[in-house]
Amino acid sequence: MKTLSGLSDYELVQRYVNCNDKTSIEALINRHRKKIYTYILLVVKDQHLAEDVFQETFIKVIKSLKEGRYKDNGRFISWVIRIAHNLMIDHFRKEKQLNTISNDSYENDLFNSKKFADKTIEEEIVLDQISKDVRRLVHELPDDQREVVILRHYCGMSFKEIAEQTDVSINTALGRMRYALINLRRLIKEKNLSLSIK
Amino acid sequence: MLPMTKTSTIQFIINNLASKTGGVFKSIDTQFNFQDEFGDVYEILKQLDVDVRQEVVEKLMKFASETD
Repeated sequence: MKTLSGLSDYELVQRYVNCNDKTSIEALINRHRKKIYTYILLVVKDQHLAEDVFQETFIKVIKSLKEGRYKDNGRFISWVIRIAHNLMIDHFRKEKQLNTISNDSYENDLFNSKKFADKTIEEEIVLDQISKDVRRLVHELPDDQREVVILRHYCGMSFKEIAEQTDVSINTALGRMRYALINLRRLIKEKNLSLSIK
Repeated sequence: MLPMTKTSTIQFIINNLASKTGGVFKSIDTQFNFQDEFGDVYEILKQLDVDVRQEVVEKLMKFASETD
């Protein structure tokens, strides 16, 4: 018999929906938490807001699965990212209406990196700084290029999935990725960034 | 020559492309992953390693266990 980690997303979804197996939804969340959270955090730039959106996203996922509203016509992660994307759009719309300014709390998540396990305080501080530098770097990209980098590099989506998600052709998605990487290289050079522990 | 079906036409295109790429047909994602050309940039991107707090996940588990 397969262990939970050996099951596909689809099999886990089926076990959760049909057998009400809570360990399956737990396995799904744990399997994709980093990708989804990174995607959200890189878009909203605020740790607390990212956590709220992450939570809302999976609440919606759980409800939709229970109500039988999930159709397996694509990858599970693409579906979850679409839900997160829509929630973020809703948030930004509301924020625009209220005319509030988002408070960037990048500084608050010093101990939010997995790399921090088994590290000295000094190393933790350096890693935290590196993490922040990379996020700032990604944030300097134009929106469309940033989105492709996040979806491709951090979420592991295929260009076909990215094209569907962002409503552009595959060639456009590929072009954006290429420009993003060229821009990132330029920014790294301009800022003279060396992101590693010496 | 027999007329080609849709499937055989697609297969023909794939084989034709494969022959032009050294006999191995590469998928879009392999062909355009830029790992070699942009290896230095990927090295930097890889340095970002964040995860959601465990408390947030635990709250979700609680929600899931209360949902039937």
